[in-house]
Amino acid sequence: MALGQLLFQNAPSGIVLFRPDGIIEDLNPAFCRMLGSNRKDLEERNWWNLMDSQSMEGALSATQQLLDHKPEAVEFEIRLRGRAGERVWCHVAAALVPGEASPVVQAHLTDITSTAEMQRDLLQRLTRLDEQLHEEHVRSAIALRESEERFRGAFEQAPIGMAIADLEGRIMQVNSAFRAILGYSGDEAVQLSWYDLLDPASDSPNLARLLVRTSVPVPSLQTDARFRMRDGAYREVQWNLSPVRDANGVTKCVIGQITDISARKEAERKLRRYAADLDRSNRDLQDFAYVASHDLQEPLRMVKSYLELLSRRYASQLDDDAREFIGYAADGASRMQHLVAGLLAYSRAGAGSGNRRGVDSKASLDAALANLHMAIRETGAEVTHGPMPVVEADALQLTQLLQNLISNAIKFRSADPPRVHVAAGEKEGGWEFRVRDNGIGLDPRFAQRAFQIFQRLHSPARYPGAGIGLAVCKRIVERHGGEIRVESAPGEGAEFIFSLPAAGGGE
Amino acid sequence: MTAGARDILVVDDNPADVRLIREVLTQHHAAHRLHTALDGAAALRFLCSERADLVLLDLNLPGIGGHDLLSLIRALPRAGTVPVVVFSSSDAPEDIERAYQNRANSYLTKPGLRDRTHP
Repeated sequence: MALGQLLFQNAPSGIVLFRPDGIIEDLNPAFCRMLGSNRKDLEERNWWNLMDSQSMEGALSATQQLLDHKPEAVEFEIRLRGRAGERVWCHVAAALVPGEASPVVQAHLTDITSTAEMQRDLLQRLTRLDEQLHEEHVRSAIALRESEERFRGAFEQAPIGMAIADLEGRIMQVNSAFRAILGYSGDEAVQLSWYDLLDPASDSPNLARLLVRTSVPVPSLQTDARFRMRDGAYREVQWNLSPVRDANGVTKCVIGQITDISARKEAERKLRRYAADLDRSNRDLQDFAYVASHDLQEPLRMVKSYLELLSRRYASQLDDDAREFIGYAADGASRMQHLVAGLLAYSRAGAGSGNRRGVDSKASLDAALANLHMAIRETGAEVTHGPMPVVEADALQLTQLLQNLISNAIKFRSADPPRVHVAAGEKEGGWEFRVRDNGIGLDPRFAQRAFQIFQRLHSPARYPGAGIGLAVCKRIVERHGGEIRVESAPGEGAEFIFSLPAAGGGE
Repeated sequence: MTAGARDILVVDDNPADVRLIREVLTQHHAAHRLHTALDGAAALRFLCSERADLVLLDLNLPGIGGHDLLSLIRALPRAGTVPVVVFSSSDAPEDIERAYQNRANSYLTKPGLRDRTHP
């Protein structure tokens, strides 16, 4: 056997000799093994029919090249069909068999199925990976769109009116609450700018211009503004403006929020009107009380004077009944005089409480005690006090307040000599005063009545007075923004407690 | 008096005026804390982050002008109610009117202060 034949028969690679028309001239055992067929079967086949159609194209063109240009060799890959239908992937190196009259091609085939499959597997995996990546992309794009939609949903459904505007103030987008508050449709709104919407008479348009200046380092601005509605009327809103800035601090757009506050504003106006009415009616009442008490005094003085004249000059001509009647009339006139004087004092109380400043309450107490020194001496009263603070008050009225309370304590004394103690302590940013006595006390059920004008808890025979003192106290304390109350029980003494603002705490 | 020391923001780009204000304010109450902003942006930054009991505001400022600054201060969500005293060398009626329109609490002219402190 020639060496060539020996090599041909024993070569590890498959060798096949074929003519360009596909007729197989020869093949070796390795080729038979590659396809799992026997020699006889394969010899009858056409070379070109052994491979799949995709491979044939490359193989044909390579063979054509070999015939036309006669290079030393050509290389290509083909997929052969095995006997059981399996694919056999082969690398082919082909050359013309020298010395033949008509061309014969010898092809050396190497089975690269495993390599090819690995490659193909790799390719598939890569493709899958690529597909996964693609899916990932698609998914994240969807997620982005969803988050965008969520944002849009949050924007659209927000319970406060929202609008996004560019730096010129032109509205780019509005939400449903914005449309509802102002009555514009979305299409109408985006035709407008802040400056079309804002009341030109207000300072608000200027604010919008100022905010978009990048040099203004504020996170947001807020103002009450008037926005023109679709029907031309204005609506009062709270307007919040927030610039949207990029990473470099450059303002990109402005988000405006509007909250309808027309109801609040209306309530405020009503309250102000009500307060003004109340103030006026209070002033009227005070004027009335002052004028009435002042003017009432004059005729009353007349009645009293002539009653006295009558009883003095004509006493001898009157019988006992007449003298008694005149006595009652004079007594009534006297009481009426006290009432009128009390009313006058009451209407004056607190009238000048605008004259407030830091006052040493110790000085006021001293002044009150000086005014009361007769009563104190007569009753053997002892008035003591703790540390006295500086308070924000009208000095004269504070003196009158303390004087009335101490005088009250002395007046409603028990059998024991009166003991009065004045104490003060800080409470809730102000001062709380306590005036405590050891007197007859009062029934807590009547505690509120004690502060009403002309209210008396005792008969005038035992405790004379017009029922003015505590009413005046209440009025003074309330005019100073404080409160007064009494804690007591019959026979237990009484403690009057009132509060005053601390010095420097006022407006 | 129990009134404590206050934080006062002086918005003025003139060092001589700032010095004068410091002298006068600390003369009455040495414990007041004076903070200075040389322009509107610095004033806004201060008011957005710190507390002030009073703002003394010059109208003649570089950048954001005093009137615009007052509008902006009044629109600050948290600090919008701080008392602002305009302290300007201008006694032009339109300046005074505009300041009060922007809810200035008071308007002082600078010569006025000098007159009071150096009679």
